[in-house]
Amino acid sequence: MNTLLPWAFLLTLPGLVLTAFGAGRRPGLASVLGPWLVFAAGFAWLLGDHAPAVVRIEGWLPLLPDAAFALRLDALSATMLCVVGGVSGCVYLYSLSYMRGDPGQRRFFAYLDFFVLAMNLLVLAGNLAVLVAGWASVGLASFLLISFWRDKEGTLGAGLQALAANAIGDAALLLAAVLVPAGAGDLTTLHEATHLQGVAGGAGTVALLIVVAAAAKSAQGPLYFWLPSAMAGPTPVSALIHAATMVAAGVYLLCRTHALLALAPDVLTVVAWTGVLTAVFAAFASLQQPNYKRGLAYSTLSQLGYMFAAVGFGAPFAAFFHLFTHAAFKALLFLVAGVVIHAADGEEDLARLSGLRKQLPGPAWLGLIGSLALIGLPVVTAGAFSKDLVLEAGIEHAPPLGYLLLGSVLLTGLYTGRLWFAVFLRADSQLHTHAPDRLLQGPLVPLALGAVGLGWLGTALGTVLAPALGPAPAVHAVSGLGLVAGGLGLGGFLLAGAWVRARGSGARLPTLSLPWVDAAASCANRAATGVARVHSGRLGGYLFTAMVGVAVILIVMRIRP
Amino acid sequence: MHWFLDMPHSLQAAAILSLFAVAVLLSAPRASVATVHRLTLLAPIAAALPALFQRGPEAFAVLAVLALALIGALLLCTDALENPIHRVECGALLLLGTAGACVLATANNLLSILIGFESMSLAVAVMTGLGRGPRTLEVAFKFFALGAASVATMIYGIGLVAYAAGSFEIGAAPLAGLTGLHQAGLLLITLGITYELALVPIHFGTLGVYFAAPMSFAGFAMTVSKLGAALAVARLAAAHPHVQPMLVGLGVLSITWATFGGLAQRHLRGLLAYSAVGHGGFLALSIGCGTDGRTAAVFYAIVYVASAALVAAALAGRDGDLPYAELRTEPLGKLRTTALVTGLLSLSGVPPSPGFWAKLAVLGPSWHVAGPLLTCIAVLGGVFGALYYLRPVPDLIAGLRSGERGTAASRSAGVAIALAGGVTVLFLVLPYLALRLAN
Amino acid sequence: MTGPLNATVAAPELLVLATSAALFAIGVTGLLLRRNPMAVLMSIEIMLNAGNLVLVLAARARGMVDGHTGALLVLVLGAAEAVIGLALALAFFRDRPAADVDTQGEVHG
Repeated sequence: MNTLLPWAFLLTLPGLVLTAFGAGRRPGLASVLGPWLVFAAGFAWLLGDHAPAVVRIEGWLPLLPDAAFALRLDALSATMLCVVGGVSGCVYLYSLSYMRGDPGQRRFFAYLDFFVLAMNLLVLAGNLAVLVAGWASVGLASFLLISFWRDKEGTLGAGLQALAANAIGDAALLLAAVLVPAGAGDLTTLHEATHLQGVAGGAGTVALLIVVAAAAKSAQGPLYFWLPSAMAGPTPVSALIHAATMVAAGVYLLCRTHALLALAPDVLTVVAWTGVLTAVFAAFASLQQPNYKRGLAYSTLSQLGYMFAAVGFGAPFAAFFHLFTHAAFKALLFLVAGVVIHAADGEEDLARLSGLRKQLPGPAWLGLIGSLALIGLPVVTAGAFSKDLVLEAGIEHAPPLGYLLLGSVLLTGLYTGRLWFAVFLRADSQLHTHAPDRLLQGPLVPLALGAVGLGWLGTALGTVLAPALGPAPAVHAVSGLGLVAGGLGLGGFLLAGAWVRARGSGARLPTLSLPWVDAAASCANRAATGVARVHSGRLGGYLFTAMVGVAVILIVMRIRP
Repeated sequence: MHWFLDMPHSLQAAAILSLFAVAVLLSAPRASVATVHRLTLLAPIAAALPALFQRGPEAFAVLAVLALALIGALLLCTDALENPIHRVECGALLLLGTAGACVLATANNLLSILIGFESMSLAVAVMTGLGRGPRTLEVAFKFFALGAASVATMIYGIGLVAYAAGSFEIGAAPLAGLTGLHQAGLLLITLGITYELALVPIHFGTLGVYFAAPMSFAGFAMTVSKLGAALAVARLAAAHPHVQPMLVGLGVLSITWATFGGLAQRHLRGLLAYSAVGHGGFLALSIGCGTDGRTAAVFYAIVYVASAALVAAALAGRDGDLPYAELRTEPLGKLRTTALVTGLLSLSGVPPSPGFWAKLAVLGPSWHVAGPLLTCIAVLGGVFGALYYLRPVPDLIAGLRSGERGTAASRSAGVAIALAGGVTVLFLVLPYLALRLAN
Repeated sequence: MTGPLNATVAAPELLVLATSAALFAIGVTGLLLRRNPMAVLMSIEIMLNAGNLVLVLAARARGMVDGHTGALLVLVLGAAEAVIGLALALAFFRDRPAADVDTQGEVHG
């Protein structure tokens, strides 16, 4: 059994094939079972004796230092499997209703299956080569899903933005895979000194490359730009990929290689600063967004910043625990947004979505649960447990950053409150909405339960993950810091309520845009057009360029020995 | 008969192919088109028989070239020619070009390189010229002119090397005091051969062929010619290390150039053209990186030509530039689209695809020999290439569901797709097979 | 007939080398400066023959029999190329207003 379980990443492949070839009464029905099987696989391992299950096929991949196909199912990957399987299971059921009537449904579920397969491969990867394969496949799946609606303007552009950021991350990870010498590709033993001797710059280089890759995948620092644009995809996609799982892969990688990162304290400082600054700036940016989903996207960025910061503080368990709880409540919030948008026929502007409390009571209260979890209300929501751990780690290791994070909890409350109150404060909407059906609201319930209850699993999780992440700090239900943070968050939440009541649901900060992404893109486009113009269609031009090129080459080669 | 059996495999193959070519030409007036087509298909299979169960790099090179030629022959009947009668000539030219490629791929002698290169190059030029429309003539003439200039440079280089070393063998050492001439000559020869590899700055001719020649001939140029040229350059670089820095530099330049050029493209043929340039760059980079690099280069070459053959087979017979905007309104058929998407994924080096393993394999030797900076540039060029390779993919996959039958592949094109596709998927799942072949 | 296997370049050989280099340079210049397709093809032939000259020199100076064969081979190849080149040039430029190699083509970008 132990050698079979790591192959769990293939569990969505039958669904992919069946859906692609049109099996099942409804498109996508054949795929629904896959994620739950994945969840079962992870859960089964967790119930077992916790011995890491390793699959290793030597000599599979030629010419790399570590040429084996290695899978590894241990505590960290099993927990991630449960997260991925659980959230995607809910999202699949949700999508059966959300995407009904869309002509591309089969394609949608096939893409989702591919994504889950790739994400599981990433999670189950035992060495860098397989990790890179999973990493880049996840990026491909994200691109395909963001640009899913072919008739809408701008989806392809958003997808290409995601691909561009993903490319940077892929490049970094590829280089890391190439650099690490033979036998050292195994992810859990990367930090052993013997392996890093041959690498220029030692642990620092590899650590930096891994951090760059993680930052690209989790949209941290300057590589944030693709996540808000990725909201152009369907909402189930935003919930699954851009909130709960794929963007968390960066954090997962950092947790997996935490021992290596511990060898490079400078890199850890960079990680901490990046995380904190992203958390703060993204919180401000969320307050500027007129679009519901974009507001949530910046919220995801901010929470990922918390996770990154936790890694930077040397507390990988805190980061992972926050990933765990965040998956539940952020997916819940996105799915609620999806219900609202679906009911309002695609309207995404907050100013027009106000007053839906009476028409959509279920989503309203489920959304409230999610929002309270996001701000971290102590005891009753899971978010508090994990966020407190992060804040504790911050205040202990790098007090200025820790207090900055604590202060930004107020901002978290503010933007969360704005998003909830804008839609659900009043009950007098003029919009004509269709009532959401059971399949659309049903999957929200397990997520809401998770948002409330997952925090209590913290201690158990810490024990299970101790071999992988080191000894875990104690998880408190109530602590002084937790109460302060909860108070700040709740204060911000209520302040937002007052703000929305005063200014209406369109209340937001004025927009401040950073043009550097557009500048970079237009630079690249100009370079591309320039290159294409050299191929001018004139033979004389070709001959000239060729001959001059040859002459230059000869001269250069003669000058160097 | 024993003199035939004593010849090296490549010459046997070349001889058989030439015989078949002559047979095709002679039989044309009386035999039907189908018979001629069958003869053309039979030729690579017959030529492969002597080498079929042999081991060793030479046999492998010959078999690889012949397999690609088989795919090219399968695609032969799909393309639009200016005058359908010329299909016979194209078949004969295909066989003669393949013969040249066999000789080129296994050459140990500078004159063999010359003969092989010329046969291949002239065959491609004429085949392209026979296509329909004025664009094919235009690119044929430009390909020819630039190619002839490269050949002239190559001949000059051969002369210099022969003068400096006293022999036409590839590994011959220069006589004392003539090292400068020897090196200059080798540089010129390598530059000449890289014409077929489509390395910047001498890529214009081949770029035009990839752009506008009928798809099966462009496919021939992308696969058979490239493979032959790559193997020849690998032999040269193995024997004379001082050309390696040039190859590395040109390789990185080509990768960068191709990424930017590809970004500007708005139609599939343009995408494929710049893709071929980029892959030529990776091949050159890898060949220039020592012995490990050359093994990686052969691995890369195998994976690349399989993917390129798949794409060529998928697009064969479909006229015109194939702009992206058209992909939704006039979708390709289901088999074609699947093949095209698989091929594009593999060419772009995105997992899960064999192209990804190939790129990974090249990066190691590159880091150790070419240095971190050049490797970083190459990696970035490679991954950003995904931006232009993947641009048409969502539209292509969306076109799969459309009830209308897009242009279906003819039966022989279907077989070609199956062959190339099968090989590509095989390399996807079991990459070490490709490496075993490479060794 | 074994010629002297000199290690250094003797004066007459240097002259031949210089001539061939000059021929090659003339060919390249013609290739770049002339716009008539026939002139372009002629320039290519000049370059080809420059190479051939060096081959013949090598054959004579190093006593290589296959060098002479090589030179003959290059002549044959040059002839074949000339045929194909002229045919392609005729076919391409037949319908064009000017016999100018440097005109804007349709295939570009």
